[in-house]
Amino acid sequence: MGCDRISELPDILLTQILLNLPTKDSVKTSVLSKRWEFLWLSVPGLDLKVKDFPSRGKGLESFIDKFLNLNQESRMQKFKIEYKKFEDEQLVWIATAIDRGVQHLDVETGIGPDMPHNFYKSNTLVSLKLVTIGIVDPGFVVSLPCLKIMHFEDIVYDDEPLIIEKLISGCPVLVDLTVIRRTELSDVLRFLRVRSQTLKRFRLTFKYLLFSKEYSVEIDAPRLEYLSFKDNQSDLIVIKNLNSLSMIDIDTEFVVNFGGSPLEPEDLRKRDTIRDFLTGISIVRHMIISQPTLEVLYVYSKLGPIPKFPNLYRLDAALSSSLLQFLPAFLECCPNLKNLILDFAVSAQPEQSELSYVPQCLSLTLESVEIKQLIMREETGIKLVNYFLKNSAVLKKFTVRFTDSPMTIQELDICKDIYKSILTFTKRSRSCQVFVY
Amino acid sequence: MSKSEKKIVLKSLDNEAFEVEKAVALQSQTIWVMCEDKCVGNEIPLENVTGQILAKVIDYCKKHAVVDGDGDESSEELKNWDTEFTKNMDQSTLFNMILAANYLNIKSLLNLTCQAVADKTKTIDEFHTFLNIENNFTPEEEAQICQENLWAFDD
Repeated sequence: MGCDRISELPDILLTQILLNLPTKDSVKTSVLSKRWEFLWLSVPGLDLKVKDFPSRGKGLESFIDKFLNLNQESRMQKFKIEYKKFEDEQLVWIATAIDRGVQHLDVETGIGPDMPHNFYKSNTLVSLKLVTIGIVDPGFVVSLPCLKIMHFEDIVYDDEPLIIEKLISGCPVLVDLTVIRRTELSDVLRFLRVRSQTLKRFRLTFKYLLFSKEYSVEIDAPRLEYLSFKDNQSDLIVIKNLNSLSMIDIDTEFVVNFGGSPLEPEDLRKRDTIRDFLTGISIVRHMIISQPTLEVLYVYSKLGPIPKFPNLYRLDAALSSSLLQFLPAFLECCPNLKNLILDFAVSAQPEQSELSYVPQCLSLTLESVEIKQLIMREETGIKLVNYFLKNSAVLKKFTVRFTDSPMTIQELDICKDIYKSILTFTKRSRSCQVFVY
Repeated sequence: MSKSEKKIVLKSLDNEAFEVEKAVALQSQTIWVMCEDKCVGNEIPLENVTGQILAKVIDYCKKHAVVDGDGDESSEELKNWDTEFTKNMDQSTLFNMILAANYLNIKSLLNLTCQAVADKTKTIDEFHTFLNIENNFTPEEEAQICQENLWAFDD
């Protein structure tokens, strides 16, 4: 046993340690020893959930009131509360936390309240996460000079369509933004414009059950490095100045499928939106792309060219057998691709298409291919395996992962045969190592 | 600026000397103030930190100097590096790191090391064992304290 090193730390450092625990655990340390009995009361922050308290939060209000009363001396660093009902008190708590210089604010409430006005001019906030709370135009210029991380989830944007734009323009050091929109409750934000000179990471998730054509999004962020674009709702998408984009995760159907306007030759505006989107992100180095997005791009590719992605060295794509035909054409747009990871889902109808065209990256750059979720007795997948082994000239590593494992002796035999056949496929790259799982 | 002006030497409690880039060392507010105030050549004595701990602190500062130039501490890569950095530190090293981060006034390192201690002590039993705290309450006193915030102890 070592000695009790922790007792050598001054109280102010012990409370820093406790700040990293949920308040419930921090309160528990009161029984550790006499020195610890009241330490938790000096912790510069709170981290509470309704379910920490018995019978749906009984006692939570009085606990927070007591804590805020006894804790007046210290500047507050963190205030995190998950409280799914709406009471006026919570606005008082949030306002108090902001008045005491809170740096990390994380609030989930019931639908209803709007953020208190002092929030819009906090000089101390560094990170902010708001879930199902309302934000409004405060009527003065927003100023959040230290805010680096902002997360909005199911926010009620009350009657001010430019509210996000106003907020972002008040954040001169913002680097990380997440906007998740799922609820249709008073979401008046028809046009979401994210324009920032400092933003490096942006995640947008926008999924309603109902279809609407009235939404649009514009992203203008010259320092953006990472974009997660899961917006299935915006009909119009404008991408500007993404000069630093390194990684993108795309899952959108561009409002083409499922009740949207079908992508027909006359739908030129939609074609141009997709073309401009692809051109806007063409600098990207690492792309993750969903199967629905690829399906739309397949249709698009018959109407307009897919731009080249000259920097793309890694592609993670979800693929169905119906997309097999499109794969070589899409790879042709990635002339410098080194790593390819395919998530392969079989569609109901077996595909008769032949894979024959060999894009440039297979001959010159592609070093590593991984195919996931293959099913053993499904031929299209095996065809894909054969295609890459036969045509990739500089392949170093090829990995195949099957989803199913053999259940019976017969299946085990089949399985062995498949393994064997994969290992004996013609390989254009002699030094390629093959791994089968 | 000549090369020597860009570097400074940090000297530990046990007289180990480390030559580092100024930009790396100046993440410590304490060193920053010392450089501003004294201008004691380019050698800075740090009387509260051993060489073993100082080496780790410098590793941390080197890693963060590169990225902090951009004012961005929240990248995935850096977070992963931070996790690895503290993952295998034993109790005593962690506490020395906390003390060093506090003395050198490197806020992000203080946060990281405090977080690491908290991560290793999720339950009261873990607190007692990992931190070696001796309970000096009588059972009655302990029961009384639990009673005051019963909600926190009811599981």
